[in-house]
Amino acid sequence: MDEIMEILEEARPDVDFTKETRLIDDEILDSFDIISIVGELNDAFDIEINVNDLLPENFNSAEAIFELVEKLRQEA
Amino acid sequence: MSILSLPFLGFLAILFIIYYAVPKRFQWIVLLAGSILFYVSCGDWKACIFILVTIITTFLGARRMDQLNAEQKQVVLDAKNAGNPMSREQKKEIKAAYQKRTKRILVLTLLLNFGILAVLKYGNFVMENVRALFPSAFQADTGLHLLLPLGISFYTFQTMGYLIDVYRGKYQAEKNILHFGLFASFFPQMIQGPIGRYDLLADQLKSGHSFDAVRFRQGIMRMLWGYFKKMVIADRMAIMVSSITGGFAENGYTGITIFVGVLLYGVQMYADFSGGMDIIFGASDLFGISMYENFRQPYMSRTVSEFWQRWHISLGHWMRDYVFYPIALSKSFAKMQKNMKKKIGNYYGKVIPSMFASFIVFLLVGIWHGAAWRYVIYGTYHAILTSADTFFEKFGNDSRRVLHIDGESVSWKLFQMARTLVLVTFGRYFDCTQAAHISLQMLKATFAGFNPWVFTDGTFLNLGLKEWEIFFLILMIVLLGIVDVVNERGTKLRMIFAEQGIVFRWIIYFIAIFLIIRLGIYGPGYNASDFIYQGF
Repeated sequence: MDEIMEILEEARPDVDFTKETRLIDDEILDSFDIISIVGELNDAFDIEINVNDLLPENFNSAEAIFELVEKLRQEA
Repeated sequence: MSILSLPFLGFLAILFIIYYAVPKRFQWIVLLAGSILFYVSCGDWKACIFILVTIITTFLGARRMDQLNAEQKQVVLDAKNAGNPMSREQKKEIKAAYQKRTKRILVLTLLLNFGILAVLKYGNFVMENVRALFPSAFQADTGLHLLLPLGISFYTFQTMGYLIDVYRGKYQAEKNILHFGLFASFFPQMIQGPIGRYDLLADQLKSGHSFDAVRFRQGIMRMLWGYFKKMVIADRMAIMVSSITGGFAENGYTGITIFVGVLLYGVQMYADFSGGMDIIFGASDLFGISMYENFRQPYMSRTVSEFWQRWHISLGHWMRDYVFYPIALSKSFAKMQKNMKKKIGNYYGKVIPSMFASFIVFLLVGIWHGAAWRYVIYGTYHAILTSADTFFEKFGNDSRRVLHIDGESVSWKLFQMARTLVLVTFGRYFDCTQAAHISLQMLKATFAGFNPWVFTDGTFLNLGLKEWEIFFLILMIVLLGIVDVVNERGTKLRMIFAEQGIVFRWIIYFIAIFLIIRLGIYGPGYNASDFIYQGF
């Protein structure tokens, strides 16, 4: 989780990822942020987040991103 | 049947009465019958064949993909039940084999439907260009003269979005072809969108709705506001705008006159397109159905990128989900990003590949508007601007810090909004004329002279509008601005009005209807002009 927080904070230092739970629904993260975060997550955890995983429920909070990463790591 | 005509209002009233008179489980059938009637009455009935092809192929394609997915799961389950569970590798193999088959269906259905759109929309354009390149090979007129079915860009994008979502496993395919037909052809969205999403729209269309008086009032008010924006503001503005953009060469307009003309064209577009959306959304509200919002105060954008997040939102989101993400998340793209990060550092290595994907998106957005070189230029121009937004974001932030400019101060925000307005207006030069070379001539004429005296020498009084109309339009621009500021703060005026007492509400209705009838612009035979976006 710490590593994910680091990636998120590096991508968007202005957002408090410990509190936000509507990152996509409220358009806090834009498409460029998503692409850069996904790239970093793929590298850091050796996973492959593909376009099918880009659902709001997978990216609305740091917690949701963590769960997605965990799920993909188990599948890998 | 134009949505600006009395027959449409009559159609809407009859449909509304039947909709709430029948049992709830039959309401969707009323909407489907209404949509078919509307579609047939709107244009050439022969064009219906194209929407039927799209509905049938997309429905079957999505169903087949669903079946294959179910089959794949069953194969794995059967093996497990037979006491011979598959290994992870075997599961992967089975998944890959089935994915290959679903992908084939996806690609074929996409090719067929985008193929129809491409041929009908761009066939003439391609032929014209081929003929221009090889004039001797063709006779004088070899145009294809294809008919363009109503709403083809909108329903093709909407149904293909659905197909891709089913392929991605976002939701299951629709099982009833008539339900799917209604989703694809729901009449309000046939004129100029929005490009709806199945997961947000389909259930609303299928399920029954009880009459909701407050929502009904909100719908009526939104429709009135839409008619007002379209017929009183946009169509009046159009007279002045077309005098400038259509007659600049023969009348010798230059400099500020032309720029103001194109600036007002932007206001006209906004009132026209968002007014049409208000009519459509209001009409849907009458049936208890919400659609994908298409505007969010676009002229309050601080950057061109933000403008595109607020203008024609449903198209922007479509492009993001079905073009930008697949490109930006592809393997070759990830490789490019990695290489660039190593070579030119983290920040630019990260943004340049995304810029490249966004460049393709904007080129497509331009071409989506129509088959003409001016739209290619329009798309490229916006691609460059939005890329520049990203590329210079860090530089901009750093410079502001050095110059001690507060990025959140009102003056800085206003400066950013004005800058965005000017940049977007220059883009509109390629949107408001009939051909790219005219746009370029107009651009040249804009920089041919500086003439601030046009505001006082009566130039603007000779553009087809009376003096009071010009003052009225200025007032209306202020009104549009105020409504946008109120909306931006999260207050919806029609919701407040709809909850007022009956006397207040009827005063609002009467004033609005009176103004639309008295001040609306009517063409020959009292038919208001078509919507600009209807042509897309």
